[in-house]
Amino acid sequence: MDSSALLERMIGKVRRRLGVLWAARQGLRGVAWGIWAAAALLLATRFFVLPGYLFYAAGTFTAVLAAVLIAGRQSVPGRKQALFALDRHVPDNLILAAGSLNGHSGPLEARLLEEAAGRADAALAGFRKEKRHWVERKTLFWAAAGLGVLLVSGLFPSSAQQEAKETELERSIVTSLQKQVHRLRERTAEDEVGKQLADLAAVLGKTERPEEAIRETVKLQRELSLRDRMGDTGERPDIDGNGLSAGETASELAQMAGDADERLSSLGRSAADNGGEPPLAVKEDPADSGGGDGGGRGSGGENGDTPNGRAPGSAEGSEKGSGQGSDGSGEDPDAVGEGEGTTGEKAPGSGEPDSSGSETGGKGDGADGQGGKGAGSGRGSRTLVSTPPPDMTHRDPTSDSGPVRPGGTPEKGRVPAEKGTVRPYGEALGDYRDAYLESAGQLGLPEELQRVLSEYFSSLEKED
Amino acid sequence: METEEYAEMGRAIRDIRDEVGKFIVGQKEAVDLILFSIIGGGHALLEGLPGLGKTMLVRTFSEVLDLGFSRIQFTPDLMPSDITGTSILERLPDGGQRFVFREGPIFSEMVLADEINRATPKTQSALLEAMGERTVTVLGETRRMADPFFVLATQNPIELEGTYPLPEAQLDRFLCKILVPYPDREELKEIMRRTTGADPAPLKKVMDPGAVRRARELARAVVLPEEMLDAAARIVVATRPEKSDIPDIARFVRIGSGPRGLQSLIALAKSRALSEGRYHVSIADLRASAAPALRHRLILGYEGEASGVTPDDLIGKIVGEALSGVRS
Repeated sequence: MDSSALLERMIGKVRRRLGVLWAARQGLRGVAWGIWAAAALLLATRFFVLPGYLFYAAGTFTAVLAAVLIAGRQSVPGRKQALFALDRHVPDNLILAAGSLNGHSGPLEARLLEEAAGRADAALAGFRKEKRHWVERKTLFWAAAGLGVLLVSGLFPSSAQQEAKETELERSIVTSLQKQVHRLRERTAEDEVGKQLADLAAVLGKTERPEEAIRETVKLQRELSLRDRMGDTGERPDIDGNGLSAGETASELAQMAGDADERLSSLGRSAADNGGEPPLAVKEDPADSGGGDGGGRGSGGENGDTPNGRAPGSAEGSEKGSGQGSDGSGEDPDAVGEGEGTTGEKAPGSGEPDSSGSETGGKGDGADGQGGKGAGSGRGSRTLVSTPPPDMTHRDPTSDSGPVRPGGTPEKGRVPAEKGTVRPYGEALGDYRDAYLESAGQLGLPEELQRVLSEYFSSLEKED
Repeated sequence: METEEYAEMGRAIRDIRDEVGKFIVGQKEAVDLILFSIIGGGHALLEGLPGLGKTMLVRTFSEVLDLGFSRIQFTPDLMPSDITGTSILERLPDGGQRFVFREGPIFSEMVLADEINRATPKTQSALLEAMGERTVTVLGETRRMADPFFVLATQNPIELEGTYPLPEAQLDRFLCKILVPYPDREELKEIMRRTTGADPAPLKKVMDPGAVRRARELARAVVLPEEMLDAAARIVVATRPEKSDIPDIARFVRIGSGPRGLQSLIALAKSRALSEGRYHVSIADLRASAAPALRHRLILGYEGEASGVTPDDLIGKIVGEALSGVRS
């Protein structure tokens, strides 16, 4: 190897080492700047609501780090720096002189190169022995200080930051729901269901509040669920077997809504808080609900836009099943609600006016082994309830026409569900309790169920 | 041109220093710079108070280098022909007449132009032309100067009354300006011992004119790597107030150095490298040569003069800035 090549090899080695050193130092410098930039952003967001501020802080950190690295590119050690570094270990700038001959050739230049190459090994050894500070203390200190500020700011978020986090989670829930609906649409077998899912996705796209999104989801789920039940009576559309049926789609929607509501519960909120029905309860499967023949249904009032209340229509296929109809409340009290219950000996499907809409109906009977059905319509505000006239109990019960078909209107007046006096729910509660205590014995309810109902009234009184 | 020759020349130059040092006490920088100026083929301007041994210094060099020596005391009534010489009418034995050129003191290998600022500009320019062109033209006849030809001009920084300070353009012709400081106490004692005691031993001739010429050739052939040339250029450019990044230069300097400054810097650096037996210029050579080569080329402005800042201070800053991060 000639002198020039040998010298260049040594210079290359030094250059690589200097490059690594530069990267370490510049990287730490970038980290320090990035941390401080992120900390500044975090400190600023303590005073105003910026959803996703943690994401922005992380983005700021990354951007500043990249900017520092890019800005420092000009200072990346090149051949010249390597030459200077190697030259420090030989006298009279021998290597610097030999390394910057710029192609001049002559006997003196050749001799200079030879001499420099002869000393290059020793110079490289000297360079390697040099004590190097891979990390600059000052930069490290600033990085640590910035990290401290970041941690403190992250551990003790301000009210604005907490609000931002909630907003962020809300958006995440809605977005997640929307994506899931899109995916579900692709899996569904029925065009009409697909169209409804597309509409739902569009609605979700415009929705900001997760409660609304969940309610919309549950609404469609309930609709599909109804259609699925209709399918049980012979109106079920054909399915090619690959995609999801309406019932399966409803089940998926229920699962999605349930998951979303669960996520929302981390904020101490629920879709049911605003009069919606909790999504988990609407998970209906004909196989599960009513336990075969024992399935009974009682329909109560339904909230207008969304399924409402904490009183789900639940189905238990047991001897001692109970059915509850949901109360009517909310924005569209005319809508028909549905409660579902199973029957044991004689299972009532009772609409439970959890929220105070005026509720009529919501009561159904189920005979042993048969589904009991009840329908009713709700009307009024959430704070008022319509109590039936006192003599209602003396009227002869009539059978209900069953759940309202999609697009149909609720059939009214065939159940003892006449509109009474509009009273605050708190006042009506006592009457309910008394009526219950009076008739509890006649109903022949199991002891355990009686206890549950007593506790229920007691809890309502306490809340009052 | 073998590298061994550089080593030999380096040894010879060390011998010259030692020999001069036997007679001249201290003044190491002045000794070195005079030597480098001779080797570099330039002329030097010596600035110092009277009685510091300037004449003795030049005379000593002429003896050690075996060069002819002449001294011109510049006075206001000195005429150019007193320096260059003149043609006189000579009667021939056969009764005829002819003009014969009678060489002036300038036709010597080493010329000491003492107190050059006392002569009129006309006379000064006659000397400076000879210094620059190395020829003298009298009555239309051009005559070449001796080779080697070295002028060492002295200048008294005080007693400025009745003097004609050298213009910048003429100052620029000097390769370097050498400051001769007062000797310190120990040097003074040594001077007393040598000058008030027995006669000193005669000086040995270390080189002859041919060796001086060879030394010049070797010095010119010294390798100037690109990095060193770049550093030298940076230094020179930084002396210009309009180009410099150093605030003090823009503030205090009126006129910076031109290309002659760079030539002088390189010539001095190469001579210095040769004096150490090297055949390449180092950063240390540039660092050491910057002030002597540039100090008389930095013309200070009013603020610079008033604030008492010296060209050496400014050159120190320039060198520090231009060569920062470079080990020498």
